[in-house]
Amino acid sequence: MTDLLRFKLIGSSERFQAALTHLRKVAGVDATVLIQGETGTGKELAARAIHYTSKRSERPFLPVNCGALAEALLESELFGHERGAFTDAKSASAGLVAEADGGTLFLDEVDALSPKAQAAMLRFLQDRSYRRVGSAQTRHAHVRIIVASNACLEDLVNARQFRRDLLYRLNVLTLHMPALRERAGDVLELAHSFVTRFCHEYRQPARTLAPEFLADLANQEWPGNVRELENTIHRAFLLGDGLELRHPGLAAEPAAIQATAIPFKEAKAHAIADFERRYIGEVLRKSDGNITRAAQMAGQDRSAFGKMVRKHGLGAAAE
Amino acid sequence: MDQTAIDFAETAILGYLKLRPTSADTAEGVHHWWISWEGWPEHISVTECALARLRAAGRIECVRLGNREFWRLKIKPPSAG
Repeated sequence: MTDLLRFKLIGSSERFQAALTHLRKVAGVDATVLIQGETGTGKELAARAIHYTSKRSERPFLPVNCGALAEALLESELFGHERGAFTDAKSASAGLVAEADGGTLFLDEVDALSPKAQAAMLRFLQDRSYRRVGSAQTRHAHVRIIVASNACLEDLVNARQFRRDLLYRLNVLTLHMPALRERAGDVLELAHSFVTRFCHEYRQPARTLAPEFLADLANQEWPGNVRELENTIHRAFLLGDGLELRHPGLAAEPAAIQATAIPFKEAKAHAIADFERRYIGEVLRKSDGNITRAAQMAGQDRSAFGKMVRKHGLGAAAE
Repeated sequence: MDQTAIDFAETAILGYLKLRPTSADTAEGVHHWWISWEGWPEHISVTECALARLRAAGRIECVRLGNREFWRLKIKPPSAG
């Protein structure tokens, strides 16, 4: 199992490891799952990991983004249609539920299901029966449903935009994918793994992340989560021309220009923090990451210096 | 593109489907779960190229369902006789 997850779900933080432990439990039982988490937290990755570590792993895994499908077509895409059921139905279609038979159907952005599709999905979850659009024949499919949403479905139920009975059917098991800002230390671990992967993919010699870049990565909020971090590293990798990757934005935005947009006191604090990061990064580089030697070079107490290293997220660079 | 990597991916996909003929997934799923890469995975374009070559050879098929494309073993139509 650990090996299976090796390249797909990376992170040693307590929050993320707890999510993976729960994922393993969820994979071991054959029930409907609701995966919640912000955009970019790896909901589809988690759904796929559940499928491939479950007893359905040798059958289809079919993911579909409900939010990207036209409302009028959603029911027919899910449950199929008969020839002539609507204007463009020139031939019959089995639909996703039938094609996923024996396997897993992953419905991302499940909150985008229309009221009619919600009703059809509720019926399907009750007894695994469905009808193709334009057909009176009841069919059955043995499909595990995994759904995901970054919206609070309970709020949507209260706003009458989502059926409460459907929510009850969907959240038999729930899995919460934590936001990157909740995963202490994972930003740098992920960043290093992305660099290694890109070096391999692009057949490039080993490259590293500059200490100030690492500090910047560690201090960001990452509203787009792992996907945003991966894109940032990818951009730095493609645009960087040295063996040490730097954030392109850091060089392009001098501190003085940034400072004019915020109050003096806040700007001063940013400037000091920025100085600390750069100074500590530089002495760590000169001391080959040895904190004791770096503290001596800086004329600082080792313990206080170590605290500053951790504060700026430079620990991984120093070890 | 690295031909050795594409050949490796082709062999891995066929090997996977030989053992699990009823499997289906998107190119991303195939890339991450059907191919046991030696070390870090290659770029997904390697898998996409391998899938395209296998489709051209009539070994697998690509089905568009919903808003995604899924890859699976080519289902032979039942013979007329």
